[in-house]
Amino acid sequence: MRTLVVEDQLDLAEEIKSYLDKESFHCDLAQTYASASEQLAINKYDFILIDLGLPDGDGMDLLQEAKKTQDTALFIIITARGEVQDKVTGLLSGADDYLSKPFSLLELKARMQAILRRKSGWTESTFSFGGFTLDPQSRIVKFKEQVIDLTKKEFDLLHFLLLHRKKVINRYQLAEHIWGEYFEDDHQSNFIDVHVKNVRKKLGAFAPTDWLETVRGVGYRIQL
Amino acid sequence: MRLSTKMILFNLLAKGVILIGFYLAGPYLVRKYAIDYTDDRLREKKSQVLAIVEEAGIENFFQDDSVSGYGSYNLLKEEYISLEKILDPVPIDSIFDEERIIEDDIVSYRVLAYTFDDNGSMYLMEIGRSLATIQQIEKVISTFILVAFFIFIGTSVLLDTTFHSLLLRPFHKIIYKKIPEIREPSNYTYEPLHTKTTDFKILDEAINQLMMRIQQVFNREREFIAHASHELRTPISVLQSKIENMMAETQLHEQDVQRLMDMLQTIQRFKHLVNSLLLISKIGNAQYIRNEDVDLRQIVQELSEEWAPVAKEKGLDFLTHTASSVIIRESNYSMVLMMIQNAIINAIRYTPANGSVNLSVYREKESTVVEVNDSGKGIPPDLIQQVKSGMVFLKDANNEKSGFGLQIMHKIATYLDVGLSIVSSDQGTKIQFTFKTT
Repeated sequence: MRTLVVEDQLDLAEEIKSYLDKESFHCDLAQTYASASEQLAINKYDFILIDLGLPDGDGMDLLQEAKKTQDTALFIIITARGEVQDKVTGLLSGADDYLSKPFSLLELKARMQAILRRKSGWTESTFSFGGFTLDPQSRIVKFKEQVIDLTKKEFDLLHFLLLHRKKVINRYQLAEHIWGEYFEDDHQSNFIDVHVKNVRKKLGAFAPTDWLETVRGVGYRIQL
Repeated sequence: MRLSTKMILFNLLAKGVILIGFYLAGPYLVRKYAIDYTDDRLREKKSQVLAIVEEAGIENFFQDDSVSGYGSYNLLKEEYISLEKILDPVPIDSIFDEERIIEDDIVSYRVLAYTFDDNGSMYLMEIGRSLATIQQIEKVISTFILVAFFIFIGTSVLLDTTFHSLLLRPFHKIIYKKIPEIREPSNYTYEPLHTKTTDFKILDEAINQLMMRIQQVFNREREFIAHASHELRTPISVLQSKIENMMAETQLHEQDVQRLMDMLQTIQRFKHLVNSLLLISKIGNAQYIRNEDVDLRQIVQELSEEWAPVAKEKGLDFLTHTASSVIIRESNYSMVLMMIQNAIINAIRYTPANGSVNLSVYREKESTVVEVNDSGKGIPPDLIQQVKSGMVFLKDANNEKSGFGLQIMHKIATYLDVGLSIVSSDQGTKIQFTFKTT
C-alpha cells in the first residue's frame, strides 16, 4: 500500500514512516503543503495521512486538493488541533478518519485497517489462533463451531492483540485503544489485566491459552 | 413560577381582596344607603303633611271629638300616616325602627315621629314605611352591584391576561429563546428584539453586549487551547512514536524494555494531563454536540458489563439495578458514559476489598436518577468543595494524585444540565446524577 505522510515535524514523520514501512506500507514523506502537492501530482497513493498544521498552508485545503486527484485514496487526518469543529469539518470534507495527536502507532495501523475494511470492501480475513477463530465483521469468537460469549471490551482487546500478533502491546496502548484518549489509567490499576484474565478464562474453558503471554512489567503478546 | 402567571395571580388576588371587602362591608353600606334614602323620603312626607295640616287645619283630621287621632295606611300596609293629640308636651323629632299592630298584623316599620303645636295643643305625627319594603330595595341594589362586580372582575382578568401576554411577549422571547443560547455562546444569535418597550430593549441590548464579550473571551480561549494543544501534543507524539518503535526492536534487553516502559509511563501521564485539560476546556467552551437520544439503561448495562469483573477481581460486591428503558433527549452519549464511568472508577479505586459498589437507575417524580454508591473511605469535604467551585487542579491533602475524574464529571454534568449530588463520609460515598426526563 503506497502511503503519503504529510507531517511538518520530521521526527514524527520519520517514526511513522519507519513503523508503517515495517507493516508493508510503502511511505513517502512531505513536510510542507508545496511538497505534498507536488507528490500528489506525480504519484498515486492508497493512503494519505495529513497533518492540518502545515507551515505553508492548511491541511484542510490540501485534503480538498488531494480529493480531486486521488479519487481512490483513503484519507486520515492526524492533527494536534483539539477543536471538535476541526474534526467535524475534516470528516465532512471527505476524510475517512481523524486521529488526534498524540496517538499510538499501533492505533494508527488499527484505524488504517478498519478504513480499508469499511471503505474498500477489503474483508479482513478471520483470525485463527490456537483452535479459535475471531471474525471482525460479525464480532464473533468461536472454538470450532461453538460461539464464545465475550463482552464488547474483551472482544476489542483480543482483536487488537491479534492485529499486532507477535508484538508486545503495552498496557497504555491497550487502554487507549479500548477506552479512548480520555481514560484515566494509573500504572497501579489493573483494569486491563482483569479483562485479559477474563479472556483467558473464557477461552481457556475450550483450549489452552498459553499463546497469550504476559510480558512482565510491560503488557501482553500473542505468540502464534 | 413564570412572571405572567405571577401577574395574573396577583391581579386575581387584588380583585379577590376587593371582593371579600365588598362582601363583608357591602350589606352594611347598602342597608345604610337604603335607610338614609327612606329617612329622606319620610322627612319629605313630613313636610308635605305639615303643609297640608297648615292649609286644611288640624280640625279636619279630628272631625269627631271622640276621636283623638287620625290614621291612614295603604292596602298592603307598606306605609302609614298617623296624627294623635297628646297631653304631654314633650318635643319629639326622630326616626327609628319599631313594630306596629295594624288590623291585628304586626308589621315592622321605619317610623318618623314628630310633635308639633297647633293652637296650643300638642300633636304627634308618625309616618311609617315598612322595613320589608326597605329590605326589598336592599336586595335589588345588592344583586345589581354583585352582578356588575363579577362582570367587572371577569372582564378585567381577561383583559389583564391578554394585555400581559402581549406586553411580556418580548420578555418571553428573551427568557425562552435567547437565554438558553447562552449555554453555547458560539450559537448565540445577536438579532435585536422587536419591541417598543424601552425596558426590554435595554435588557436585550445588555444581554447581547454581554454575550459579545463572552464570545470574544471564548474565542481567545479556544485559540489559546488550539495553539497550546498543538505545541504540547506534537512533541508528546514524537516521543511516544520513538519509544514505541524502539520497543518494537526485538534485540532489546529486559532492562532496556523496562526503562522504556518507565519513559512511556511518564509520557502517558503528561499526555493524560494535556488531554484532560483540553477536555475540561472544551466542555467549558460547549464544543460537544447535545443532540443525541441517550438510553440510560443501555449505558448502565454497558458500564456494568465492563466494570463488574474489575470490581469482582478486587473483592468487591458490584450490584446493578436498572429500571425500564429511560431515554434522555438532546444529550451526548459519550459524555454521559464518561461522566458515570468516572464515578464508578473512583468508587472501585477507593473502596477496599470486601466492600461494595452499587450502580442503580430509578425514577423520581419528573426525573431519573443514576446513583453510584460505595462503602469506600469517602471523598474529603474540601475536595468536593473544590470540585463544585470549578477548580481544575484539585488539592487533596490525603492523596498525592487527585486526577481529573471528579472535575470532568462535574463539568459534564453542568454542561448537560444534569443535577449532580456528592454525599460522602468515612462510611462511603453516594453520587447521584439527576436527569430531567419530562
